[in-house]
Amino acid sequence: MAKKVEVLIKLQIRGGAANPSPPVGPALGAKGVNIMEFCKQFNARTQEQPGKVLPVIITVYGDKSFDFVIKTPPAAVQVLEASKQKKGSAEPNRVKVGSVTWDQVKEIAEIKMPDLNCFTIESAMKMVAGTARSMGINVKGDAPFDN
Amino acid sequence: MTYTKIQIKTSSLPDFLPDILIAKLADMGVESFEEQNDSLFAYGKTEELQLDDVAEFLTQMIISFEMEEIPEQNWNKKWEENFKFVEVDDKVLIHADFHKPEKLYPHVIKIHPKMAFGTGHHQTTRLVIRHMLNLDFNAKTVLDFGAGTAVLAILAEQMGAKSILAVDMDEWAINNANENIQINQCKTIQVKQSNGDDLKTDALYDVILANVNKNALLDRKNILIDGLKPSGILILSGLLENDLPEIQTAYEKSGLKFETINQENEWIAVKFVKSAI
Repeated sequence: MAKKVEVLIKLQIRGGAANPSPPVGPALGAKGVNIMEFCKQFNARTQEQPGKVLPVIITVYGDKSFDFVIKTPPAAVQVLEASKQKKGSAEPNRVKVGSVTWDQVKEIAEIKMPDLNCFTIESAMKMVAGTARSMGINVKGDAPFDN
Repeated sequence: MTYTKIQIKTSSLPDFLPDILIAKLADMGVESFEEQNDSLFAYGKTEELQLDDVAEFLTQMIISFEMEEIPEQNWNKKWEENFKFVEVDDKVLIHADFHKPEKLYPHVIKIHPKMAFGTGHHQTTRLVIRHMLNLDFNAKTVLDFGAGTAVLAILAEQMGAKSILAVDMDEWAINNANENIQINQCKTIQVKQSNGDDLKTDALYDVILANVNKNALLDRKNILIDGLKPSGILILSGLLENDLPEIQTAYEKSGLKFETINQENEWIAVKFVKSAI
């Protein structure tokens, strides 16, 4: 029989650097989960991305056991990194604050594919390009696919 | 060490903005984040957070926020009040005050963990213990690198080691290691707060136990190898089975001989031996 889910906890933690301080400590500790065990597992599984802020969804069960899924860094963060901008435009329709190339969009789309509801790389690229535009960041050149 | 919590209401923000805030706040010393229905919580060490910059940035973005300092405390207390004891191969019992051992074991270790790693519940600790049970510790010198609760150092003393240095970089672990050493009436263990950089590396140890992680084991490889006496034994843990090729290559290139691995699920602990000369 499937275990009873007590709570889902959504955190964003730096790769390889989970520790029992907040938010990990209070979020998991309050549920009676062994925080140290979560930290050891998370750090081992994210050690190839040290320092990168990674979304993680932790499922805590009624028996105090847990599972977690590590997601890819948010598309918005990756678009910003790619465009070398630190924040999106306050008026994305009028004020463009930077640009990315379609190659960069494809690179981000490939990283994000496991977390997106997309069946093709083209549809993932369209979603990433849409995120960029909504932040006031242009995608330079013609799309490498038919719209 | 106190932490500061920054609460940002996200219900009225555009969908893409919380992700942008996360990227920007991470640049200002925020360590990690928690997402709830209508709020984003950002956390960082109070002394490392650029609080003025954070406040200025959020004010400029016209985003309302609240800041609150969180006092240091044992967040793992709830689990620690009611954890199950751990047996390793009927030879080692790791337990708390509230457990009553029902049979005799060659080695019994009492641990009050207090937010330090090393209660035997995680595979990495048990895998090192299994290596240790096959080693002769009599009159040996031992380094426990990344000691946590000092459970491995305490076992080494019980197995006959004459001198043990237990090292950890975390202040909570150091305080807890000292407490557990006292509870177990150990006489030969010294505790030192260190990340390894200031350790003496002139071939002092017959056995080195290092239960940390792959990156730390690669970064501190020379310290660990130089710390070993000729014919000394190195046990590396905190590793996933996928880490083995990289670790084995790095340590063999530096002259150590790979001997065996212990494995439980995807976790492994590796034994290397230094040459006799």
